[in-house]
Amino acid sequence: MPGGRPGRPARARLRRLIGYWPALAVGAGALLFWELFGAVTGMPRYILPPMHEVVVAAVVDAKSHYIPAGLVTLQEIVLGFFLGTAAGVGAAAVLTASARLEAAVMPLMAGLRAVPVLVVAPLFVIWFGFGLEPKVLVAGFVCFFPVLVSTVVGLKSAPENELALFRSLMASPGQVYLKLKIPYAMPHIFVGVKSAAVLSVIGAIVGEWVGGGNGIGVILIRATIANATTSLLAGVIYIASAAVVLFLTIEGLERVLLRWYYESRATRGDAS
Amino acid sequence: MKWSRLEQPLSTGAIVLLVIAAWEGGVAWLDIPPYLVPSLSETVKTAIVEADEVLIPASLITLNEALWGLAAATVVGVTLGMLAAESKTLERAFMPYIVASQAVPMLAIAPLLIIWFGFGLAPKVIATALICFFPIVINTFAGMRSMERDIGHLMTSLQATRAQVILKIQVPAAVPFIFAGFKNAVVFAVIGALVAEWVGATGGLGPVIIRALGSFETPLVFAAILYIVAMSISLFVMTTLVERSVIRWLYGATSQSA
Repeated sequence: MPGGRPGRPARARLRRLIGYWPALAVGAGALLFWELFGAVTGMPRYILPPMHEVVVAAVVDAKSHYIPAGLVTLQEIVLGFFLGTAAGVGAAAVLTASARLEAAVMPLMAGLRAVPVLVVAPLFVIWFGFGLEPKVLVAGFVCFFPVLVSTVVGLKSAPENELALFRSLMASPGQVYLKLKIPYAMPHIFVGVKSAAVLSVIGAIVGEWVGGGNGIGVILIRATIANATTSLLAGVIYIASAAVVLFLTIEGLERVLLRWYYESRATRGDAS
Repeated sequence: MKWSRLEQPLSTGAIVLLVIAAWEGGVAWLDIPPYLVPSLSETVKTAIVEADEVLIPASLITLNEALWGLAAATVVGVTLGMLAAESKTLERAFMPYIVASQAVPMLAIAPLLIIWFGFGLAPKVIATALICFFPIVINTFAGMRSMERDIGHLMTSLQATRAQVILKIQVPAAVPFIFAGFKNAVVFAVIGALVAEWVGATGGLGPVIIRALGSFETPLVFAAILYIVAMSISLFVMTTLVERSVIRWLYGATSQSA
């Protein structure tokens, strides 16, 4: 991937953008295909309604349908995301405190990770009912593992010679964490948090599929049963935009918080 | 040295035993009804009693869907990854979308697949493939590009053809990457099949779980989870074994695989 260097003249940036014409062509082609699919093939409308109809539905029914439902789902997503991320970072901090504990517990965590969300969701519904809690917990559950794994990796990524330097300067454990381990862990943690962001959306939707309620997930299921593809696609657009916005927000945060990291990498060359 | 090799599996085993004891003991001690949390013994009993009639036939259906999806994702992912690594135009045409697709919850389109392809095998295979596709294509792409620059210069100076460079250098270099991607994908394969079953299916473990939940047969739900986890883990272990022998065959017995 071409890395953008800071301070590059605007014209070069424009030229780089034009270099991405194949992506624009593919995107435009896909949208055109979508719009014209029904008209050209004569397939029934419920298979793939033209794009403009979906966009119109997404806008017209926004106030009555998608925004109220979207706010319900968004609440589940955000609460679950913070819960899962905090739990993941916390658990990783505890686990990495002892190498033996980490070696003993991490394989177990890998096994737990193989338990699909879809299967956990119904249990949470049995345990916590049909309200907000099971959905938040499902979203939190799926966020937990990537954050845990990446934080564990990150907290161990401080180079041995720098650790030795800290030791020889008699740094306290708190200083080692604050000045060395946590800064080194941050880029790793953000990798986990970014996948957690997308997973939290999936978790909330799955929670709603299983536990009902008033969110977007329920709109999707109802639309599927009724073959109402237009409203299904409109719902997917809302879900996808929520995920993308969340993802980009975290990426923006990463860029601000970790500017020092990427700048130091740019000067050191691309050695990993 | 021997002890330190044994220490990790032993301590993991100890923790597993602890969890099992807490589970079994807690359920008995607190008198939790089995429809809320079945004890481990109850779960295992259900897993055995219901095996022939319910769980094994359903698992085979789900496994079949997962494997076809995995195969489709591998064929498409490896092909596309290699093409994108070879052609700048293709890379620029598809890679931005492939990366962006990671920010979109794929599960949300499972209902759409049911509308398009009905209730048969096809939507499950496609759902699985969509979930497994990303790690494979990204890793293939990275692997094909992982050739060191010096080796590239060497091949140029030896007047190697493009095909020779690809076959002798790039593909062997990409194999470990492809396996890494595949191992990521394998974990999601069973989940992908299950998701599509959830939205619309008549056979497979998904409907078994849905029915068991509807009638509060929680032991059956737990038993089904046991089968799902067992399938995911065995797929992962099998992949690791194949990976080890393929890499040994490619790089010789002396080099160590990562």
